[in-house]
Amino acid sequence: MAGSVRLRPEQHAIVHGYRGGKMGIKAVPGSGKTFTLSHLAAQLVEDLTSRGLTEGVNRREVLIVTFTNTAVNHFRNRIADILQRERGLLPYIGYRVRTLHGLAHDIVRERPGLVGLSEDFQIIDERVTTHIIEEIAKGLLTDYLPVFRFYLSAEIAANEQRLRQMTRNDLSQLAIDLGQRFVKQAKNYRLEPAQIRGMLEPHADAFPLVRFGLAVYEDYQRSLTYRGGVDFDDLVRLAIDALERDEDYLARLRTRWPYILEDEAQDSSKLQEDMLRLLSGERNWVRVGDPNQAINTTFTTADPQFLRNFLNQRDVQDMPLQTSGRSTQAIIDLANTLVAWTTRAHPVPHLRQKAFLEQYIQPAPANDPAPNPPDDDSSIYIHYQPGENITPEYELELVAAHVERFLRQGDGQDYTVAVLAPENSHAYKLAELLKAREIDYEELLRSTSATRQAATILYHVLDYLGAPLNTRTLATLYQQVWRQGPHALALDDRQAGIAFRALTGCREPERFLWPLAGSDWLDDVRAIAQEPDIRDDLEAFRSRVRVWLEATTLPVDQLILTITQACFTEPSDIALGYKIAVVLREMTLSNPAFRLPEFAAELQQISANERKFIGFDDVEKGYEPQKGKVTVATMHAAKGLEWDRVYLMGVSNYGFPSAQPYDNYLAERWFLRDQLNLEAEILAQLDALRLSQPYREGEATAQARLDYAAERLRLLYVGITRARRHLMITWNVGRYWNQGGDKVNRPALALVALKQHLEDA
Amino acid sequence: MSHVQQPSRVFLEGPAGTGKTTLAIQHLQSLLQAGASPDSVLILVPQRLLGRPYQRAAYRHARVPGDVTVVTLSGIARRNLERFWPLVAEPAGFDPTREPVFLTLETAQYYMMRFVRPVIAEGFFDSISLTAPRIAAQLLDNMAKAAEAGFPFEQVTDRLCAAWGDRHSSRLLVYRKSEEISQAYRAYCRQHNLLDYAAQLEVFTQHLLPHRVFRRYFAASYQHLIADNIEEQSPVVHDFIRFWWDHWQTAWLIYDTDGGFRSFLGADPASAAELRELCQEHFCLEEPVTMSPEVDSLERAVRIALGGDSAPVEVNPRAALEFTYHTYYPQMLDWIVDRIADLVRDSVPPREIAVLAPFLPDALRFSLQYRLESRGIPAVSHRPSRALRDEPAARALLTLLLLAHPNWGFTAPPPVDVADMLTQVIDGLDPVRAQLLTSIVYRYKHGGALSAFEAIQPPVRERITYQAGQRYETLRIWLQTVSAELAEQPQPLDYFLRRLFGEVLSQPGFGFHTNLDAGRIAAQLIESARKFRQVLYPYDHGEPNWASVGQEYIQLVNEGVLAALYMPDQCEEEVEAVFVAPAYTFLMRDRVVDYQFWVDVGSDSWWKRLEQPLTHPYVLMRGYPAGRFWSEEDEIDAQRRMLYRLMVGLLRRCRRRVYLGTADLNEQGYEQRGPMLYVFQQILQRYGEQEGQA
Repeated sequence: MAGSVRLRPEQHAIVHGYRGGKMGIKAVPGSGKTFTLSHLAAQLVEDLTSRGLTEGVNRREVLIVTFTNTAVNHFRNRIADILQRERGLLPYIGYRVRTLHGLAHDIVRERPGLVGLSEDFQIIDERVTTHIIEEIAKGLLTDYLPVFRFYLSAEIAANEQRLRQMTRNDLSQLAIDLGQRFVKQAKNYRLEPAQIRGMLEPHADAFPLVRFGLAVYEDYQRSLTYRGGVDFDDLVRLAIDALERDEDYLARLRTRWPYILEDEAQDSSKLQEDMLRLLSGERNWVRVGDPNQAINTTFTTADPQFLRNFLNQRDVQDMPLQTSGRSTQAIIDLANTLVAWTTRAHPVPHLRQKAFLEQYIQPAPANDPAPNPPDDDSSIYIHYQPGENITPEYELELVAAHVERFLRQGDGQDYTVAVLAPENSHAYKLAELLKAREIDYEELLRSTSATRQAATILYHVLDYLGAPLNTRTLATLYQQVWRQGPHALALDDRQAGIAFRALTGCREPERFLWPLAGSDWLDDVRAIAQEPDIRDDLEAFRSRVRVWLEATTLPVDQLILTITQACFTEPSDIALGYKIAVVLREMTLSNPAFRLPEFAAELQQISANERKFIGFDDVEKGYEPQKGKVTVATMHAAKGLEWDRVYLMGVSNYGFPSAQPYDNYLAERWFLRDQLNLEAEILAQLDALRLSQPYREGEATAQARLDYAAERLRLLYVGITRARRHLMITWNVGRYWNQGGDKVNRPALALVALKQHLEDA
Repeated sequence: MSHVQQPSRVFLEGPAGTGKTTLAIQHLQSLLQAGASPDSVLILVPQRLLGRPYQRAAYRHARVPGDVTVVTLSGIARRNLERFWPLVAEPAGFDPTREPVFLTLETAQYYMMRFVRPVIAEGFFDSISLTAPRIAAQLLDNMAKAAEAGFPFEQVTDRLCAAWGDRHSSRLLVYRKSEEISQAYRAYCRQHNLLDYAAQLEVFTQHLLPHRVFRRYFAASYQHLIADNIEEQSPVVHDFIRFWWDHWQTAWLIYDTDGGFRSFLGADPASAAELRELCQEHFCLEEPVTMSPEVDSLERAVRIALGGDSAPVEVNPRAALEFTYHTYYPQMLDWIVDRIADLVRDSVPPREIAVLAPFLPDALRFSLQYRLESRGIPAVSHRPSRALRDEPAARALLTLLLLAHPNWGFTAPPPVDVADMLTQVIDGLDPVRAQLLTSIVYRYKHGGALSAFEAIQPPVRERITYQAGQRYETLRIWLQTVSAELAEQPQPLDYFLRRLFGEVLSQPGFGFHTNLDAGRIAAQLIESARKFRQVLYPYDHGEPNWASVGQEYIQLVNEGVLAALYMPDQCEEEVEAVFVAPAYTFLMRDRVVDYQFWVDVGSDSWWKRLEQPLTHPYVLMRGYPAGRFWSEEDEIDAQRRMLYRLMVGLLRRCRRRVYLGTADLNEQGYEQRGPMLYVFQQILQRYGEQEGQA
């Protein structure tokens, strides 16, 4: 039954040619890498099944490792579909799709005792771990103030009053960021606090930043131990420990997973690569990725160099996927121009060598199963004129107006449209403008809106239950939760408004919620008494709130589950409620003093998008852009997706620096001397200590600029290659444009080069 | 069979559901009808609950007044150590002039933690992610396992170290340090006449059992032995049976060939099987009396899938199974409850339905019960225990305890807790009025003082209601009076709690007067506080510092160490309700139902042993060769045997059909593909379509 789907020759060579060994697949954007990998997985599952190896407790599985939960779901569904429809096999047997952390979790979960965990160990939620590090770093700041003072600009270090103010705000934040970076990196190197302490011993006063980082790390680990848990970064480290400690266990897992297929390999960190190398035993390991789309290096320990090194190994079969049918020829040319200009003409030699692997996207040949869109419906526009200054507000207006015009004219509704910004904050502002213009849009920002919406509902309930005398929150509960929920009675807007206003004005909430005989507040309000529908609805609301109020004596997880049952009908929302219940319950274990107001505050942070919370909605639905609806996202979040029409905003030297003297970097804080990037410096000190190399202040800062500039060029490449037919690129002078000098942003060098390419063409 | 015809030494074996216990009960009836005194019969069981059928039979059939003795070995040990303490105290290294203090698990943990905490602070446990109470619990567990297997606890470290082998890590140091802690703890216990579970067993078996006075007493007391579920007992119990073997007029040993569910708790089926050779008569029951042909067939298919011996599968087992895939955990719970509702609608009695999960966390128990109750389906859940701090009634009492003892050094309870407490203890006070009252009378920032109801403005008093106000005043004045008394003459915390309950909360007008469940929790809290106090200050010497006892007690409650035990009011199997329980609890109930629902079949927990870094259930078994490395192969083999025992054990206790609940993502969002799922997929692949209909 195989072969009912047409594969391109280069895809066919991979799916039907691979039988074992190491293979590296460099895949350009739109070359069908998920498609190819899914077919390869199905092919290998079929081989295993035909040999009777996929049954029972000793079954073999093809292991597919990818980067995000959404990708896991995509792969699983796709492979299941191929197995069932095209190959007549059982859909969910013979393979396992995992994120790297999910895989590490599986490995540790199977033998927790090997790494000093009990079988019910907790993975402490990111919210809790962040909170722990915040508290520790702030607490240590006073003791380590001399260290920080050493790095302050002379003007600030001399001003005691200013210093005191800064200790509370900027320095605290710096200490937290340094602590987080240090702990993450130490775990990536699999260094335990005691080992670092041992390394420091011979160096009397050297490595001051490491000493601070170590103090945070020591307290942090003890704090995790106290809670009987581990964090996400521990998972991979512990998985490797387990595999190294027990070679029989490793052998068993190698038998279980005879093939490992790794997606998005450019985003692997050393630790993650080590884990897969161990598991694969360097046997059957297929790594797929695009080093030119490595955009997660700055805030993580990922590095595309690992993939590049793999691809250069002699025993690795090189099978590139270079053909892409995604975009028009003009857009492909623009993306290729960015690669060519950077590798050949960029003013900074390091970026010429390191930013991109020089590979170019090839358009699909004639008769291709997935041809490129026709060139007659293609447009590229770069809003840049030398000497023109565009304020951020103007750029937002410009894009919003442009989007509106496009969607409301001609066949605009037949196109998928996205506006991509380098940062969340800019994207939020645009979303506000679209809302004001009544343009249908959806956000694809840090946490998805459905997750935030569900968290918001739970927040409103807890907010009221924590302070039940507050009729303002009671009215909000009515309006935002009850009226939106499945049990509200049918009222029109006018009636709902009457009820809301009445509740807001209620002075004695106990007479509404628990009326004594003959003293029901509902009887007092004439507007309600006259309309039985409103009264019925408020009575139903009242019964529900009473149940919740009575449930407040229950442990928080049971309270949340009670509310979830009443408020949600979507399975993904109910699952989210369940997860929130479990997470809040864990919080009580480490924070016995937490009560409803604290839990409400946590939910508020999730709902306000200040805390990252992995919901379930994206797991179920994946993300499919809809025609006529605008997607607002960051360029990071857009990876792996495509739209007919794409707007790239904010392409200035702030978001896309080029390691030029006039560039500004977020990581170089204004109050530090010599424009030092202390996050880079603390890691450099750790490296120097670890490798017994000399440490020279400032070198890491300079290197970080180059690395950041390289990553941002790749981010721009990702942005461009999201577009199928139309692409608009804009920039702005930044928030401080009226302060003059280097504070004013300039168009990114790459933007100027691309504009030149368009004009030449 | 008459008493005379009864064989006197019987080994009765067979898998579950073949009628072994029924036969043993018939034997008991015959004994009693032949004139044996119930008092002369010793029923030895791993859990007292398992002795109930015998007690009922004895009640119905005894000709002579009296009761059969249903007991566990630790029950025998404790009872007789109390009785014969002066005989054994000195040889066992204790002080015979003072009473022994028997430690509960909680109080033993409290003492052990005193020795664990400083070692944690020194960093010796940095490579182990365990909380102090968990470390303490595992060290106590090691001592208990050694006592149950009958080797000195000093051997534990050598066994664990050998099992760990040369795997690289600091674990060996941790094991050695753990032994030092245990030694120090044990020395302290000896010095203060404290006996934990392990010490009770050791002193009993090594010193009291061989003592001629005890032997004379025991021999005069019992002439007949029925030991049921001997496969769930530890070797020290088997030794006990052997020790008395020649004494019994009759002795029946009952052995479940597929059992051994309490292996984690020291059960040793292999050691039990060795008792077979002592018996003249050996009966083997094999024909299942309970399962339908389809379930029987499914059980065979499971045996085959897991590599066990089985007769061939003749009937298609597919008919005994129903299942469907779900993405989310709550969807699976909905499906389970929908199917239960269908069954109940089709006139299946709820007590014929059991919902079984590998573990039963509160959230799951609550979600299932909530869903079932909202359909009007009664459910009874077994929860082994849960932290006292999670019980609303216990929290209310602790809030009052803190309010009455401002000098204990704790911060005053937050207003939310005070409002919660008032809602619970004042009958008729709703949460909104309780909040209103608290917001006026409670001065959180001024040490937690409560002001008088009379001082409130009259219109607000009216809002709160005068009736609630009067009750509040009763409580407030009582607290004020007692607090003043306590400031002058401190008292143990259990005295305070008992007075509070007796003089106020159980009176008409107060919440615990009618709320029996709250009353039960209050009684447990008082009892737990009393035991704690007695263990800390067992003798009337010196001036006890009740404030520090109170502080330590509250700290233990906050750490979740103290648990409220769940005590069913009546036998769960007799209640007309769906039984929701962890699978192992169900297995140990020896209960059979028509329909079983297995929650979350994809979960790994179905086959995973309780893996604890500081202890090891298999390596600490008597039969495990000391000095042997525990390999990966051993681990997998043990897990497979466990899954086999569990699945076969459950199916043997199911008459008609098994419903499999599966969710792709567990409650935390992780994908699940545990081995049990694969076993079923293999069976379905072989015998029928892959997916059932929801």
